[in-house]
Amino acid sequence: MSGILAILVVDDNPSMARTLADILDVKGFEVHAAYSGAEALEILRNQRVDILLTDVRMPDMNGVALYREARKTRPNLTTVLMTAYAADDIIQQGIAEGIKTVLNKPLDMDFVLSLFSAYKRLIIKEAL
Amino acid sequence: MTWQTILYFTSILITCGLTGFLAWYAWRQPALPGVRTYAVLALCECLMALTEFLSMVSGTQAQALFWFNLRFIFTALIPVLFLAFALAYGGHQNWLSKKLLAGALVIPVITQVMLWSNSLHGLWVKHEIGFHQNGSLWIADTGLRLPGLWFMVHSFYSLILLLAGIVVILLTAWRMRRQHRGQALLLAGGALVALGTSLVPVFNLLPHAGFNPFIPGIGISAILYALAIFRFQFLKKMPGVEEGASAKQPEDPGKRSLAVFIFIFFLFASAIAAIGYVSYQNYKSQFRLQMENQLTAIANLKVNGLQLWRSERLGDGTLLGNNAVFAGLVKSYYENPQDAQPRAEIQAWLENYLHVYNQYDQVRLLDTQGDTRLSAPAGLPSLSPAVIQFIPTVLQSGKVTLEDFYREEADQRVYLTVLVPILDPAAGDRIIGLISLRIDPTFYLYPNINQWPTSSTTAETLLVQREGDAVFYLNELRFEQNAALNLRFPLADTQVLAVKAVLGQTGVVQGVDYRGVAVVGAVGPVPGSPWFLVARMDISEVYAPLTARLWQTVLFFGVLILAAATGLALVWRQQRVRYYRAQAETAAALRDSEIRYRRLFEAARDGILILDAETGVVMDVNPFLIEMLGFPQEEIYGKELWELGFFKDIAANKANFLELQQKEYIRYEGLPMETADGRSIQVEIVSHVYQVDHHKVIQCNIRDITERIAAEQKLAEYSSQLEEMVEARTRQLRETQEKLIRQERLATLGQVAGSIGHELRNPLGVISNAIYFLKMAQPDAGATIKEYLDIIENETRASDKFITELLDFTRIKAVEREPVPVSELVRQTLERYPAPPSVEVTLAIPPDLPPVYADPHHVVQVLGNLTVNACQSMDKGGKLTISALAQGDMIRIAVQDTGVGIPPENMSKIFEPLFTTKIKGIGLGLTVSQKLAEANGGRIEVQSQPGKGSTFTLYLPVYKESV
Repeated sequence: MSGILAILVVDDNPSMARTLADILDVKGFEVHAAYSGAEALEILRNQRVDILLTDVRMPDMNGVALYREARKTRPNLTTVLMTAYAADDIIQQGIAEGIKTVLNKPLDMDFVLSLFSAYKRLIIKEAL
Repeated sequence: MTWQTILYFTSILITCGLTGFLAWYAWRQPALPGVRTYAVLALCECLMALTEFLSMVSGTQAQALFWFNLRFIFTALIPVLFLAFALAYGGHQNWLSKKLLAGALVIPVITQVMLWSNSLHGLWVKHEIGFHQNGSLWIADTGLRLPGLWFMVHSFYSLILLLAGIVVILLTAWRMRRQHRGQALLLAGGALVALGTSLVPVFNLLPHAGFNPFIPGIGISAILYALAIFRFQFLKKMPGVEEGASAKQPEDPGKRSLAVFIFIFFLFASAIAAIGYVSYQNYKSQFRLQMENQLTAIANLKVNGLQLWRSERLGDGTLLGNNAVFAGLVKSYYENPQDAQPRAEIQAWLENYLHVYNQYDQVRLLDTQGDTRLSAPAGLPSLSPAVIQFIPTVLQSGKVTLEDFYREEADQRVYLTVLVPILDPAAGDRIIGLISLRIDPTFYLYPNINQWPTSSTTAETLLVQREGDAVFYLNELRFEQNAALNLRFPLADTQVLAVKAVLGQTGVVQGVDYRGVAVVGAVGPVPGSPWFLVARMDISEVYAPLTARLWQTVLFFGVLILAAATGLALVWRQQRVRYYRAQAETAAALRDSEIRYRRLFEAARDGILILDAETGVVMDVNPFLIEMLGFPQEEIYGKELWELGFFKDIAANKANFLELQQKEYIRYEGLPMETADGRSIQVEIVSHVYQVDHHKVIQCNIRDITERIAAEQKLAEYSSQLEEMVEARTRQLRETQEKLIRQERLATLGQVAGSIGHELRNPLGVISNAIYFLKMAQPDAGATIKEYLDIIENETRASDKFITELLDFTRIKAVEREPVPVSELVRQTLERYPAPPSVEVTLAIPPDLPPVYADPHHVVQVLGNLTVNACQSMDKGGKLTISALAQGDMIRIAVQDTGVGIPPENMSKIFEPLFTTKIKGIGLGLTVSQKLAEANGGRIEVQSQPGKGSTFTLYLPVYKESV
């Protein structure tokens, strides 16, 4: 386990996925970008991913469904949801199933980076 | 023209005018029974007066007669019309069928035919009326009229009809007592005047009056009628009207009908008797006329016969006296009486007279001394001294002379003798002798006189002669032997027909005869003689056929009256029978009806009580009522209404009963009544008053409606409950519907807003990420670039904030109610939505106010919205007052401003979504606020005065421990 946190960014909007990935990459995270649920699962199978940052509403698979699929192979995967909708049944469902964090779009990037830094410390501590 | 004529003429004109006016006036009145008939009647009177007028002013007598006769159209019609009028007047117009009327008009029609065809048969009049002219006016003289049979029929018919009409009117007046008596008496009086004056010309009662009072009588009658009209309201209020209006009760025809029949009988009887009397009188006068004619004719015949006979006798004499041959014979006989030839020839002459003429019984040749020289039969004794005494007179006059009746002393018989002087033409008509022709009246004269052309037991002809102060009978009499020249009467016995004759009376006279028996005879002188002739008969014989006729008439008309009586009696009896039959039928029908109604009464499922309407005593009660109330019959029968226990509440006093008596129909519903077992029931009572046998009774139908009333009450309750339920449900539905509509609108709005937010937030997120990356990647960029990156970042944030607000308003987050103090909520609100400095904020929140039970986030959002709105309405400054107080189990929090207020037309729209008066604003604030208040069990109310400010009041429930 290296000291670098691997983050998978999933958004059906390529610009969103791309800008997020670029910012996180510059800030020193290992970043993978996916533009659909299926693409994200493919990456999860082949790569190391510590944090899953996914949009909720996507065409093929919503964020919570993706979280459920991901947990089948990676039960301890930390998942963060991004949404443009404040109140969403799917989000409520996700919270009920163990998702801890939901971020509203547009993302407050300073808050996101400090959150991920905190995760990095937590994850490394657990790994140790 | 005399003043009487002027008066008469004036009265005709007045009558014409007055009756014409009455006809016109009556015709214009409402057509009550009899009014139209009276109008026609008056018109007929008017026309009749008119014909009289036209008759008077006619040019010729023939025209006058024509107009006079024309009036009989009306005199024939008027009685019929009058009777019709009288019947209608008395209310009996139904008696007068069309057939009857047509029948009554038969005689008037025949009258017209008779009148105008009188010249063919003389049944109308035997002698027409006459006219005399007064000035230029023709005055009829009805005294000259000799009425025919039909005239009498017409007259009596008219009189009977008029009388009947008068009787009807008088009966009506009597029946009406006071009410119409005045007018009825006037009407009857008027008719009587007309009737009376019409009798005058018909019976020639005033032969010397000179004027016919008939038309003036009509005029007086019309005045009486006018009085009845204008003083007693005749034609306007009449008995017939009321009679017709009130249906008469059928009554026993017994006495009343009998009286009518007796009346009709007397009418018939007097009519028949009158016709009989008139027919007899007519016959009598006819007969008398005939007898008088007969007597006169016989008398004339006898007188002529006597005259002829006398002249014949004188002629017989002249034949010998002026005979030259005979004179020559007589002369030669006187000169030489012994010469047989002249003597024989003279004898032959004398014999010849004796036998040929059959008049003479002795013929003598006398010398101038009166000695008989020759005679036939031969050898007669000397001439009677009664004759001889006349010889000197004859010798002196030289004329043939008839010596009247004398009695021969020798045989005491009556003879007449013709003395004929024998003139000798050769000696200058010197009388040389005389011939006497003695006549035995019994040969020819007496039989001839006594002979009567018709068979008669008392008739005879008398020859009488006056001698001094007495009258002699010259011939032998039928009833007295040897009367000739023996019987005499003094002239003082003027009743004796013979006396009347010699005193110069002629024509038919009545008197007594020589026997003192009443006789009638024609008397007159025999011209050329001192004789008077009397042709007479005993009155008893003359009128014997008349007496027979009288008995016949009496018998015939008696039988007729009897027949009428029988007929009427039969009709009357039949009517009685019909009446009793009808009565029996009615009684039977009544009995049936009684049974039917008794059954109905007893089987009725209503209680029925029959009361005496006068006294209130119970007359009858049906079993159902007894069953219903449980009282025994004896307790009900015969009691007065207010004595009945169960009735005491209803008929407690007589006032109620009086009301019942007066109103005749009363219906009470829901009256309480107590039954025998103390049960209280409610009843419906329907009461009728009606007449039974001239007696008023009250029928009360009593129906137990206790159950019905209970059912009705229950029904009413159900009904009102149902109404309430329906109302509540309707309100609920309406509220739900309003809520649904509102929610639907909001849901739509939320969807739209949500999708816009979503669509905008993603690009905003990307922009925001991009800026972040640029700032991070280019820390050394120029100041201007950094500034522009900041501008983009700020606007992105502003957009995001706007979207967040939008999404907040459209989305109710989960309600999490909790007890919160109002002061805390207000504080938070003013902290989050501070008022601008120009607005002065005042708080009025009591410290002991209980907390509300609501979601504080929602309340703050609502109050914030209200505060922001209030401040925005006061952009030039003002006062904001937030006050709170408890009201029941609600807390009301009022946010009051002094701003521009809300125009009335907007008051209903301000809670609707997307309604806004702000330049910047999407019109969701109040909608969401109301929605939030409702979600927390409260509501928002608003009051506003444009220009003075608005007050928004938020009601929220008080927190209670139990909640």
